[in-house]
Parts: sequence; structure tokens; C-alpha cells
Amino acid sequence: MNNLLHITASVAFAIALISCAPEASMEKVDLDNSSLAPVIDHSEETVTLGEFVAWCANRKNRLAKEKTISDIRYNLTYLPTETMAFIELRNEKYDFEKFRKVCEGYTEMVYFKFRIEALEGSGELLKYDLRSSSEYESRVRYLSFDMQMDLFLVQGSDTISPGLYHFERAYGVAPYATVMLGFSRNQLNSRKEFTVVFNDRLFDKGFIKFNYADGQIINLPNISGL
Amino acid sequence: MKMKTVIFTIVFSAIGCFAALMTYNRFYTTKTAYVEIKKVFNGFLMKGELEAKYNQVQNERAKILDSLSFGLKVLAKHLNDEKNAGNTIAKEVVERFEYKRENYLKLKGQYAEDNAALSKKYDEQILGQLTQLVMEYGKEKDYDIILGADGNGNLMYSKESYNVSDEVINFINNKYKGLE
Repeated sequence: MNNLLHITASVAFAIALISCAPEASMEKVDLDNSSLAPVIDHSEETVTLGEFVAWCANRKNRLAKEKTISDIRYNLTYLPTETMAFIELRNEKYDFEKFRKVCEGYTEMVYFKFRIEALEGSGELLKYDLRSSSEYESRVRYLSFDMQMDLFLVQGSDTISPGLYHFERAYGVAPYATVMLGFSRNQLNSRKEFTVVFNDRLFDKGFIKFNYADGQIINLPNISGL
Repeated sequence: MKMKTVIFTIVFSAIGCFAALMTYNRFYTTKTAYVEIKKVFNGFLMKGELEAKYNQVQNERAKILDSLSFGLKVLAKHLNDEKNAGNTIAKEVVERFEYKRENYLKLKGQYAEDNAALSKKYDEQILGQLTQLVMEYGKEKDYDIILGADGNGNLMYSKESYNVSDEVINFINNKYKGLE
């Protein structure tokens, strides 16, 4: 009788513990906030160039930001000068001097990669949810030229238009469109908070905002050998 | 010895009851809240921004119409004065007046349509983002249901403690601003 009581009590106690435990297993891992790393100073850290590029692309480190509005996902990633140089020299053998020189060539601007993706689409983004055949042409025109007027950076009371805008066409290969953006570094205070705003006229979702807090784009680990 | 068994039984029965209660709470209760739709809609930053943008466009259009209307009135007065003075009015002047009047009426109708379309477009954009953000709020706070109270009788009564409107407004505005 006593044994039975013990077993029952143990089982009950185990259930109670499971029920009361913080809902770790139930937490939504796909949400931005739950997966973000705490804000810490990375200036003392040193990583390899490959690790640095991966570190910047990792959303946990706040340089890459994402927003989903119903069926469309928007992704904005800050690209430090080292990442830009890495992309440019990715097919070449690593040469420190050359890398440093290429880095210097990217210091005039603050670069971002902006991506728009249709979550339910499988073909080309520009063909997603088309209402007429002429709409395709106007979408190509919009992404190639007009979209740059709907992208801007706001810092305090200043609104800065992109000095560089380049739409990378996917030619039916991917259900997303990628745009490279560059804002003049002279017009921007990298240490201060700013917001990159996109007024979406492509899918009519309105203003899509991505905020970078004070010092967020300069709080980066060091690259070994640089 | 007997006393010890009784105490033991009582303690573990209490734990058992507690466990059962927790299990019930965890798996069989629904976490519910409600929001006042009008309050959340009006408190949403995007609504304020687009409303200001809409008002600006509407005012610009109204200015253009006012200017055309003023021109027409001046011309109509001139024509009336000429007519009252017994002067003959040139055919081209009358035709010009008619043309301007047609243009004005056409533009007025077009602007009214454009304003309605713009208002509808902005409302859709606001509702699209609002719905998405409230959904994210619900997921983040682990709600099973968030009801929308719009005063139409969908929600007849609820304790005020279930009203999360202010919290939702704060959440959706921060998300809209792109803050983490």
C-alpha cells in the first residue's frame, strides 16, 4: 500500500514539475525577440573573415532584420565594408593587402542588402500574384528604377535617399528580389540610431521599417589579421 | 508511525491535486484576451502617418479645385456683368467658360474617386499590418484567442483584466517602428 502511495506521489510530483516548468519547449523559436542575442560589446572579440561574414548574416546579431506582412517577407541586412570586400573577392585567393585595399574602396557608403520574398510563391517574385500581363512590365520597371524613390533612411529629422541602388534580377530562378543599397556615410552618423524605410508600392503593404539602435552597425567583432 | 503515514498521505495528496490542477491549467484552459479594435486602430502609428499623408493629398487636390472654382466664378461674374450691361458676349468666351466648367466638374469627380481609392488603399495597408502584428503579439504572449471588440455585440461582456488594448498598441507600434 505504501509503495503504491510512493509511486502515485512520485508520478504526481513529476507531473507537477513538468506543468510548472517554464514553457521552454513551447517557446516560439521563430520569433525575432526570442532568438536575439543579448546586446553586448563585440569590439573585444576576434573572429576569422569567414566567421565575420557569417556573424553579420546571423539575425541573432541584429544586423540582418526581417519583417513579414501576410504573404510577403522583407529582409534588410547591413553589409560592413569587410563583407563587401569579401563578396567582391570571393572567387580569388585571399591576399591581405588586396583585401585591405578593396575594403578602403567601400568606406564612402553604408551598404545594405534588401530582399523581398513571396512566401507562397515558387517562381519569379515579379510574377507572384499578377493581376494583368502589363503588371509584370511595370514591376520590372519599378524594381529597376522607381523603387529607389520609395527607399530612404531616416536619422533624427534627416531623410537620406540612397546614393547607390542596384536591383539584382533573378530571371525566374528565385521567388525573391534582391536590391543593393548604399547611403552616403557623410550624411549618416553611424553611432546614432536610424531607421531604413521602404514604402512598398510593389505589393501595396505600406511602410516597412527597420530600426538600427545606437551604435548597432559599429558594434562588430574584429577580424583576425586585419 | 500511523501519524507519519497520515501526514505523508496528506502531503502527497496535496501535491497530486496541485499537479492535476496545473495539468488542467496547462492543457485544458484557453488563454484569452480582447482588444478594442477602434482604440487599437486609432492608436496604431501607421494609421496616424497614412492619415496625415492622405490629408495632405486631399488638401492639395482641394486647393487645385478651389483655384479652378475661383477662376470659374470670376469668369461667370464677368459674363453676367456683360449680359446685364446688354453687351454681346463672344461665342469663344462662352465656349471657353463651358470648357473650363466641364473640366472642373470632371476633375472634381476624378478627385473624389481618387480620394476614395486612396483611402481604401491606406485602410487595407493599415489593416494588413495591424492583423499581422496582433497575430505576432498573440504568438509571442502565447494566447489561444484574441477577440476584437468593436461595439457591434461580438463581445457583450468581459472583465477589464482581459483587455490588452494598451499593451497591444505598445507592441504593434514598436514592431512597426522596426524596434526589437
